[in-house]
Amino acid sequence: MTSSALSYASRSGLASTRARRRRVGARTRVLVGAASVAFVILLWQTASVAGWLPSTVVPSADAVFIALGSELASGTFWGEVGLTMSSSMLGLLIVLVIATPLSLAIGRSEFVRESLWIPLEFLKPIPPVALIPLTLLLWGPSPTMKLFLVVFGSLWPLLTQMIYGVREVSGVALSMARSYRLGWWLTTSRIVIPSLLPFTATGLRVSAAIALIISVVTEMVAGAPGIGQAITLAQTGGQLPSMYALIVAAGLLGLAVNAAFRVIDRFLLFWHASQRTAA
Amino acid sequence: MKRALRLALLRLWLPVVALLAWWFASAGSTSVYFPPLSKILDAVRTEWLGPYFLQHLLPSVGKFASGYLLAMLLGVAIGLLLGLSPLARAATDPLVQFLRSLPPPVLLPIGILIFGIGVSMNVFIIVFGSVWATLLNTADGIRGVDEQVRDMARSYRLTRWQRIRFVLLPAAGPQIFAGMRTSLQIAIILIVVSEMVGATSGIGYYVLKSQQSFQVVDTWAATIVLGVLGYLATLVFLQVERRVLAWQTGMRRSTNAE
Repeated sequence: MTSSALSYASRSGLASTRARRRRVGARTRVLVGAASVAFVILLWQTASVAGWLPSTVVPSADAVFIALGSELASGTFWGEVGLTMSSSMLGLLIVLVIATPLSLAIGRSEFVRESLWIPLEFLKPIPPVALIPLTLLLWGPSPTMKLFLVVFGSLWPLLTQMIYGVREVSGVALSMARSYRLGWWLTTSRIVIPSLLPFTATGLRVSAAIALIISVVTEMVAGAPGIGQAITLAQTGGQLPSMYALIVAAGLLGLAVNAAFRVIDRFLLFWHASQRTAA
Repeated sequence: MKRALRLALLRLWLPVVALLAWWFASAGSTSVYFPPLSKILDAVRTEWLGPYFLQHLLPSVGKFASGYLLAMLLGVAIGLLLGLSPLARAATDPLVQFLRSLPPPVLLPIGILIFGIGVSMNVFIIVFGSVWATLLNTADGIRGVDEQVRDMARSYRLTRWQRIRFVLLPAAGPQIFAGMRTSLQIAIILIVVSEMVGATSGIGYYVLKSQQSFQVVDTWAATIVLGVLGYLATLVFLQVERRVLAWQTGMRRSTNAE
């Protein structure tokens, strides 16, 4: 337990500041990165044209990118993205609403903490996808079912992080607040929330990635509408280029979600060490 | 003794109450969707500790273990290379970030195209989906090893292999294990999904099939088995982590770091 707390901390703060010393210059990094991406795409195209890659398995790069272009220009595609994203983000919001009071209660009260220990430790490792058949029985392939699975799957990273965060609230600072008679609101807003925020940010980012995965899986396996269902439909319809295009689009969507949460981090944590050195 | 008893009571009352509530509330249940708990547990005992153990449970565990171990081996090895060479890291970064952000289940159709339905496809999906968290955490961990520690290793003239084995990997250990834990969760998700979509045996295959044929008791039973397996996998992982990182916990305690 302690070691994972340490590594979470070092992932967000310590390691990155130290690492910056030995680094290739920013411009070289971008150039080398772009060159290698171009190289891989070129290799892919050459391999398809030369016939090393059977086109029944992997279509050529240009076919996939043309299909991607027409997907990006179509309204149906954005509708599917909207459905996938809205259930992920709504799920994440519900997770935040559940995790905040729960982590505070667990951090503050021994009774709550010990009573919930077994149920939480047992529920946490249950793979959320294992519940797909049961939830299909109960709700069918509906938005409710998707939302339930998203919440069930993405609750744990955020909750775990926030419990660590509540534990990290400095006891000295709390006693000081008490002797200054800061009151509940000032104590919460000036001491508890600032020390909780970095953990919440890390947890939210992990939870967001998992929420997206769960949405897509539910769409693929259970047939709820969204980008996952579009991939399955393209597959069963034998439209390989658009299937690959949708997969690339799903990856880009994942990248966008990750980047968006990094921006939110930077915005909320501009005062925190990990962000200050990054600037 | 008294404290231990109190802790046990505090921890046990809620699970016991919940289980009893489920047992009695469902005892006379005639609802199609909520069969009595006693029937579900009966199914777990007669089926999963019986014929399904060899037919579905062992194949699932085998696929999961081989896929996960392969992914960890690859993740640490490649992560080590990327951590040691900033240039290699810069070159692969956009691709790795993209592949990492790809929700792994979308690879299922590609896996089916390449490998068809079966064991190799399931293992491929697990490896390809779960390797990234470990790979990136290893690279970050290696890169983040303290400059002083590196200098020290150099002035003792450790060979490259000694440096990796005794300095870099242990120092990056906690972060590598944090990555492996994320990988573990993804791997568990992927074994279940890949069996649901592309397998003819395994618990994932069975649980979805039982739902589609409305064998509700069997669906509940298989779901419980999956939950227990996920729990056990995490338990084993934590034991291994504790043993491998034991020196670190000891050091933190003795130096009172953090």
